[in-house]
Amino acid sequence: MTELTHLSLTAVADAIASKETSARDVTEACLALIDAKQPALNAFISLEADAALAAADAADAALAKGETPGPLHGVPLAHKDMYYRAGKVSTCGSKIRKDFVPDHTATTITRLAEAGALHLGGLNMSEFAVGPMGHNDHFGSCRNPWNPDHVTGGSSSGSGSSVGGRLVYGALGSDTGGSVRLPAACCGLVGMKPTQTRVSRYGLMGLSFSLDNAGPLTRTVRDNARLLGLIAGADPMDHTASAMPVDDYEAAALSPDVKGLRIAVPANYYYDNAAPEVRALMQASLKVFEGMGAEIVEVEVPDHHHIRQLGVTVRGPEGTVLHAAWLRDRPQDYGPQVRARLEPGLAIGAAQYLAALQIRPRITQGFVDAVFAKADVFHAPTIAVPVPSLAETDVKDSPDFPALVAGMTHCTQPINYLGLPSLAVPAGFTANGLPASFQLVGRPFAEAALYRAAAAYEVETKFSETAPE
Amino acid sequence: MDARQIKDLALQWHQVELEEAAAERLAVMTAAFGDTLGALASDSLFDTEPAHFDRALVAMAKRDD
Repeated sequence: MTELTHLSLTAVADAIASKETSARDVTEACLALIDAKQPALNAFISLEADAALAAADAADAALAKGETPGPLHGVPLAHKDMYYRAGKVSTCGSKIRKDFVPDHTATTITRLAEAGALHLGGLNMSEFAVGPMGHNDHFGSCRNPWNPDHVTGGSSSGSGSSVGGRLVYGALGSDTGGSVRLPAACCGLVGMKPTQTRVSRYGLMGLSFSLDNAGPLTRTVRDNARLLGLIAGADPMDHTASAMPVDDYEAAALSPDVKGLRIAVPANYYYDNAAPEVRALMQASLKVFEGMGAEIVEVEVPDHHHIRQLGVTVRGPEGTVLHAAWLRDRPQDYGPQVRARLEPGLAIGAAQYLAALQIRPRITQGFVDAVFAKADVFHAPTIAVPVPSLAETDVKDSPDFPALVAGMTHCTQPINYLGLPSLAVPAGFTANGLPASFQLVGRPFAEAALYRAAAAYEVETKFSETAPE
Repeated sequence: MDARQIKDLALQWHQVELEEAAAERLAVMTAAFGDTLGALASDSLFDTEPAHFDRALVAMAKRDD
């Protein structure tokens, strides 16, 4: 029974479609594992077992009638509890919205359902998607499947914990400053923050209109490519979703190749304060790429310390627009660190906010010119330190929290302001037994190139085949 | 702005009462924002429209080769 849960998303989809197994058997296996692991991991905020089993039976019945299965037919997924489904509670990880029932469904959720996916429940998350560690003062902190004393990374904490723990085959998270890539990195997963305008945000709780991204967390590169291919593309309900054609990401993942690929590594910023063992793992990953025929080139990245400031100058006011009334009327209902991280927008003026947005294309162009004139993809750590423990990072709003947050998001946050695609890829383990990760960053809309390179690394290293006990 | 001014601004613009420690933290933070924008924004193109970011991304997606 448990072996089913260790299949990849694409493998279990194939097994269901070919009737080697059934959607019910797969769903029951996931539910049994959730029952066993939820007390330790706290990955789910809500579980819809009966509805999922009924949907699994319907999926099996459709196959028996000869219906053509979709690419996710009968595959159990679950998503960060901020993807709206009409008529279903979406807590957003908060006390303030613990009973919130949206009247519409996220486009991404509709697209996955149309592909045949089942929905097991709402996943734990940092309150209002604010928090790079995965702590939650209202629903309890989520725990890392590799070691429950350690953080999952946030804010898509339950997405990382549930997929890493083999409770579900894939999950959507959201990424405003690293919130897909950080839990992917901490939980040994592949996590995609797509190009800023690649995926519709309709029906996704907002934190920052200009920086929010929907993206998948999975165990393998191919799984990730399949999910992104299903959710990407224009959406009449979200005018910010690009009309740029969607590439065949899964085909890219199925043609792993880095021969002749030029990989840029940063000479500045990304390794500031990097732990020696993380630095060594990054070097080892580059050796693997070199061994497969890639060329490594060093680049200077422009403006990065400024880019961090620009990101906060954009996120602050956008978050304040959404939260000002609750900050005024219900400040006690926020966790102290979440409230503190929503307050900067109160002191940023409209002219500063718009200036930070106005110069964004020029700053991104500067990075593209500096990096992609010399290389095809950019390689950097996702997190530059070993995955920390829950205890050492549970600092609430103490004076230590700004440095802790800045350290955790040091390598991910600038990419959101730049609007570029970034794929977090498992890169082995640090001495504490927790996963390490690098990110591959590409030109706008170059997600296929990232999947092709990451798949080559995955085939060579087989890190995705290692699962927590 | 100093912490006192930040507190007043939050109260007048947003009707939010900031604690002293929060106001002091924001005073330091917003000073850095001003420095950043001063360094980068002075030569912005006059007609750059923030809502056109997707158009810029699409343009940058084109390969040089």
